[in-house]
Amino acid sequence: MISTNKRWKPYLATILFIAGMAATADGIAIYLKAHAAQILIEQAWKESINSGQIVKPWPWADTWPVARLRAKEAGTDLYVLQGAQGSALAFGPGWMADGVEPEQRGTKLIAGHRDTHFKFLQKIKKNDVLSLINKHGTEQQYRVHSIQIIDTSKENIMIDSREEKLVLITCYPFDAIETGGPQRYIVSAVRD
Amino acid sequence: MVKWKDRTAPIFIENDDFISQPRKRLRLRFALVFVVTLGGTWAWHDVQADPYKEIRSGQLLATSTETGSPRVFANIDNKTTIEVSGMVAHVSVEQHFRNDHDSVLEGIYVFPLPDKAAVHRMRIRIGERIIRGIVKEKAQAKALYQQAKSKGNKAALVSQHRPNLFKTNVANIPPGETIVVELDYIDLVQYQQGQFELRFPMAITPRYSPRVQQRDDRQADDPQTVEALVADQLGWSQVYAPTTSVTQANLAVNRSPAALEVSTELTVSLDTGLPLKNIESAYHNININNQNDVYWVNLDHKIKPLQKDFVLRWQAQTGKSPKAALFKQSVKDEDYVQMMLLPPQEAMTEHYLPREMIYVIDTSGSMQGQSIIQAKKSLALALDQLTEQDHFNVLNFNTSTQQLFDSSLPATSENIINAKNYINRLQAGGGTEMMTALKKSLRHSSHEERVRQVIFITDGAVSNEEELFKAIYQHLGNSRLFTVGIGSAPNTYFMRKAAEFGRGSFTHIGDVNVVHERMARLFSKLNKPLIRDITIEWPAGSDAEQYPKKIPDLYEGEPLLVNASVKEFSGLIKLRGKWQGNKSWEKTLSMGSDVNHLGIGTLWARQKIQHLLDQKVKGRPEQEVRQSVLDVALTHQLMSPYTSFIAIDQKPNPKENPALGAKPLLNAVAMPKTATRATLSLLWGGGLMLFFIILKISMNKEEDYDLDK
Repeated sequence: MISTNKRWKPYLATILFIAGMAATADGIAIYLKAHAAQILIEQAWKESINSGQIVKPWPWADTWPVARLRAKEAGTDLYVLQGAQGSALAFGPGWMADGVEPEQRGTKLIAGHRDTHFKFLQKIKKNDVLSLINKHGTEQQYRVHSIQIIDTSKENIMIDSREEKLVLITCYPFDAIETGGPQRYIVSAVRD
Repeated sequence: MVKWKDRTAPIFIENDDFISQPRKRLRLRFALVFVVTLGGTWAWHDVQADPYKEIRSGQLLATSTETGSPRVFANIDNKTTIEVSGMVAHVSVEQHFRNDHDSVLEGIYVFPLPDKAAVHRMRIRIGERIIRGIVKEKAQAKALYQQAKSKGNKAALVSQHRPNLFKTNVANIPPGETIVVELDYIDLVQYQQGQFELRFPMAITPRYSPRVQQRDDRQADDPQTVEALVADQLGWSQVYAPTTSVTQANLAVNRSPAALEVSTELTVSLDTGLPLKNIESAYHNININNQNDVYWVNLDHKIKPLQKDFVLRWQAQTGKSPKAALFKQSVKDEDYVQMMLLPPQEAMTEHYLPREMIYVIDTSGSMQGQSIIQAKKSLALALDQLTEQDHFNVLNFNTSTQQLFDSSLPATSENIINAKNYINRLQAGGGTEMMTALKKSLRHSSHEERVRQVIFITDGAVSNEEELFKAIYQHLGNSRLFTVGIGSAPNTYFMRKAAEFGRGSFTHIGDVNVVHERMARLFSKLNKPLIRDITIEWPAGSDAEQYPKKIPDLYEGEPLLVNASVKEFSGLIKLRGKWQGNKSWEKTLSMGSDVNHLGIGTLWARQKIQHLLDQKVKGRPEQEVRQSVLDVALTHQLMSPYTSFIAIDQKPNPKENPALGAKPLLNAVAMPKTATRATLSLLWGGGLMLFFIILKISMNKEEDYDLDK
């Protein structure tokens, strides 16, 4: 009886240990990737501004930096990547194709992960200043005028592309464990 | 013809003439019927034949197919900047329009270009949408167009409806939206009798659409009549003021307050390189400021709708000798220089160089009929122009060449009568042996001090062009060859090039009715040669590429322009020539300032392209010519046989639903997933490790228990 106990317990212990370590490593890797990638992206961005060409942060990347986003009050400085697909958002906030290009006039949309790059959005208050630098090196200031939480299963985000706005989008609530919820946290800023 | 049926689809047109003849005629008949019923005048049918005839300024026209009152865009602002350098005008037009209606409209932007103008840049802004016109290699332009089409973007049609009407269509203009059109073109300043003249089209003609019922009828039978509707919206001149109440209602619609309160700014910077005697505006009040030899001209207030084009005239202070000016434009590593040589205004008669005139008339079989009549008439006029100090002779050729006198004789009245009788007896027939006639007529003159002008009247039906060019080049000596093209379709290439090799000019007479006018213009010039054998000596090492390669003589009333590309222009240029009989003439010029003059490079490029295209005819391989032309045309953004002007909407219009203004762009599905599984992973990791620890502890306890036993 006791000897049978002894036979399966070490196996279970090994499996638990490996799985537990793997899950923890996965979680930590996500944070590491999110932060370390920004350093490589910074290099690519600098090159891109100098050469005027698209520069990928690493050879196999399917995205590239398109703008730089700064929030003084929250002490944030981020490089925004092309596209809001998962493969881009893992490394930085993503520039959404539904908005205009960084160099154009109109409503600009950026999405980011609520628990990595856009975690700072919970610290953003009304009248905070967001600044956006495009690939020509031009800096534009935007002042936050509204912060909304919407349920995308019930309502849509309305944007009027004639307005010169910068809209930052992330998931809500910030500390939820489950992913894929319907709520979104929307920070809208108008051009100063 | 543009098919308005598919007007939301991108249209790409590379050639300029697309008026379909049959349709034109059809509309014309309509118009005639209409004129009769209205009891109007015949002027109508002209307007009908070309729907854009009444366009005398840049306009954005609506092409909505809806019935009811016609749609127009309010023109709210106009800004024009014109930079004149010598005889080159660089014109930048900016016009703002607004869609004041509550529905999405389609528009056509039209701009009536002056005769010699060419557009090199266009940009239309509709909200954040930008339509940009660029010159691209033809195949590339086509590919871009296809690409835009497959992406659902709107590529705009850019074309010249008639040679001097710039036209592009703009799809999907939302209500309330402002449309900003920017257009840059290069124009040449006109010069006549000592006076320079610059014309800018900005006349706004009173408009109304008196044809409501008529329009509905036509719409039913042909979808293409949208084009005709455009014509309606352009309106006609006031002569046709309608009398019915229906049309008065339309009148009110079109004359919206916005259209009347249009603000118009116009600035001309006038750098002629010469001190000016006067500047005047033909129809508008202007302010003039003078700064460092540049004159700044402004319309003196923001004006209400204008009935007239802006016409600016100026005169240079000319003494008794020719004046010269230099202009420069630096583009990348290249400098472009233009030299303008201005003849003195009223030169003393003794300053005109004495001439020896040789008239050559083609009497070959191809000249039979109207052509020989035109040619004889031209020749008779030419003889009347001779003065007593001139010498002359007449040659005619078909299979062989005959001549009136053995050698040139003074133009006494007796000799002229003999010549006229000789010409009257000429009849067309036989072959075209031009070579002998050319060589005989160009034979070196014994009168060194005379300007030897050879007037060659022909239809140019020759096949050995190359040999003839060579002969002209070899035998020209001190003669000047002026070709006069007869008939409706003369070989203009041959005659233009022959005149260029011959350092003369080409005159085209297409119709017997214009013989008098064209010949008079040619002779008023030929009568007054001032300086001959002009050469330019560029600074050493400047590697100048100059057009025209051989500089023509300077005549009174006609400034001379020479364009060159040089490597870093610095130093002096020397002009040399002969004048006042056989005296030598010299002038040294230096670049006055380092100001960059827009348009100088473009003008050089135009001449260079023409030169390259001529080389193709001379037998240079097409592939080589093509590459050279492309280099120039793309650098300077010029249309050519190998490049096209294409305009593409750079972003698809996101506002397809105009009623809302704001529209849901994002929904739950399109929302990006903006949370990572990091927290979840860490929780799982922590949980599993916790289990592991509990299990380990229980295992240790069991072990202890076993040992105890």
